[in-house]
Amino acid sequence: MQELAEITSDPDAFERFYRQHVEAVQRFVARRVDDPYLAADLTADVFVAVIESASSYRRSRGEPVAWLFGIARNVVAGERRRKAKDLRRAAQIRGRELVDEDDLAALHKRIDGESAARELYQELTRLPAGERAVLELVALDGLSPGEAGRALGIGAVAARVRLHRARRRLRSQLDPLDLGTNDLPEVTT
Amino acid sequence: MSNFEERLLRELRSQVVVPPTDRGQRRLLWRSPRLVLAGGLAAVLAAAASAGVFFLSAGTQAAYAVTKNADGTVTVEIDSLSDAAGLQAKLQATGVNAVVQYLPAGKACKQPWFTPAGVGAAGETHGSEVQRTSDGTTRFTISGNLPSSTTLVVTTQTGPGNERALGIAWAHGDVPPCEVVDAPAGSGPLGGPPADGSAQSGQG
Repeated sequence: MQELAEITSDPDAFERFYRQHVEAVQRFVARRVDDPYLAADLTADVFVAVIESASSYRRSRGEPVAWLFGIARNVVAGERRRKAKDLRRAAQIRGRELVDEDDLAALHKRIDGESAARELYQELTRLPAGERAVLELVALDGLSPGEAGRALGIGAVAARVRLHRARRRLRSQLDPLDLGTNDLPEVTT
Repeated sequence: MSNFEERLLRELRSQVVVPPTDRGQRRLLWRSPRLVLAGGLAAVLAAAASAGVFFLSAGTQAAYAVTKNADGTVTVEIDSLSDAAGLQAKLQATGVNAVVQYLPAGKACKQPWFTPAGVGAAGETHGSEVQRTSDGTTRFTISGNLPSSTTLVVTTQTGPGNERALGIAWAHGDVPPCEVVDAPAGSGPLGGPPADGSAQSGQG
């Protein structure tokens, strides 16, 4: 496994990490926002946060992709809080300034391809925050319950409990919308 | 990767080499005019141009781009004097023999370092004139017909005010390893006059 601490000071190590994960990060963002320019901003924000926090990565936090999605989730959540408070973004890199017409088409295509996931993401706002966080990472982003727990800094058992509760709540609220909750992984506590 | 992904990578690489406590300040510098071409350095440029050597000053940000153009030429953009190994690897991956050697302020490679390549029979050089964009990026384009015996050398010298200057030269044959020495008074890194600030300074 690549030593993540290296990417805070070694541009080549960072580039390897970036090339391996940039598509996953963009898809993660596209499952949550439908504005291509905001998606570009958030993608930049995620990797800036990665650089700033990689030195604190511990193997116990799970595989790098789970750790990365935990960061990405925090970045997107931060954007939602800023938007709710009508605060101005203060990004180190403005991703939207790096987008040309070809990029815009690709961003739209990726966003269009994730429309069903965004619909589910919006529905998840009905859930308590803790349950929502686990279900997001499992149902939208494909992490295992254990990985989701490590990404969120909680234990595997706690993650499974939250997931179980979230599934039960969703079944009562969302099944009429056929959002695939029956396909969510079975969990045991 | 897409254009956006490549551009974002360049920006992010520039973040990686900055110590965490300096990141905010470095971003401010990124957006501000920062390059100063000293008069002494301008004299080097004039003296060295006939030998295919170009000098210009540069700031300290980290970023570069190497682009293979459709006509076979290669455009190089340098935003900072850092990550020399990365730039050298990129150039070599693009098919350009290159040695990139950035040195701390006050240091130089012991002379003579390499054999300068001459200009072609018609007076042509191996690269375009060096340009500097409004945002401080240094840009030049390498000929698509670069002889295999020619090596691009990108290096630095110390200018007035202790800022480092970027030097671009063409070497004939292999370039031996740089023996780092204190920058001697009276000579630049490639045999030109020193950037000692004795001449009038101005924006480069």
